Amino acid sequence: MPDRAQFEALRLELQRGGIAKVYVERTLRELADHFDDLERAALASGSSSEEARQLAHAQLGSARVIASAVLARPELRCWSRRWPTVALCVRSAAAIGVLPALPVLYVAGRSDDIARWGGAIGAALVLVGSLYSVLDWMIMVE
Amino acid sequence: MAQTNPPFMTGVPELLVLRMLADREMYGYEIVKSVRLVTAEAIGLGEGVIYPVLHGLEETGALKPKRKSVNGRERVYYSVTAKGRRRLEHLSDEWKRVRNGVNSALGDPEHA
Repeated sequence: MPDRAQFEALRLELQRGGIAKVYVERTLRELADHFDDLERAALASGSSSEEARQLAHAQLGSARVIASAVLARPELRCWSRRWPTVALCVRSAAAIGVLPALPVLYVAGRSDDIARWGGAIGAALVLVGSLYSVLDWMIMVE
Repeated sequence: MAQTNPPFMTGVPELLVLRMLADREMYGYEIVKSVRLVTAEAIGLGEGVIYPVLHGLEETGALKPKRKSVNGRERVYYSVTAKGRRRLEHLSDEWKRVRNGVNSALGDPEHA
């Protein structure tokens, strides 16, 4: 297996660079297979396991060089990085569309909360109405 | 890192990859080995950087990937599409034009 830390560093760099997830995963998987092939070839030619690993690492290239080669290809970026203006418009349109629907979405499926809220409003109305009635009666009596 | 030829490599990896795959489908490691073999190691592609080249060509529709299980190992084999063949033709013509120009500049009588 190749150096896990180097691969994780490469994954992070590609993700931060906006490379589409599918290409990040495929690059790492194909590099791992390639490393295995290089290591096997070195072992078959008589290298020790440590020498084979070092040779495979050297032939595959450093994570920095590979990352630069991937990041230099805009066609491998995810669509929101390739067309940032379009992405911004889509996000804004989605936000504008969703905002008015949020209160409806919030109460949907919360029938207990709505019942309690309705009950509380009803109780408040009865209480206020009763107080008004008492006040009216007291005024009339005086 | 394998020795590369950065100043002269613009467009060359694509040309070599498409040329190797024009004959038969291959996976990344095989392509690198073939390039080394046919160029007598004159051109050293950094092995790890073959994948962005392959994925870039795939994204533009020049290559088609196919997952295959061979000897218990899963490989991604690449083959050239019709669009890829047209791209190969274009890159070959471009390369010949540049080569003739350079030869002419160097005083090669055949191209002077």
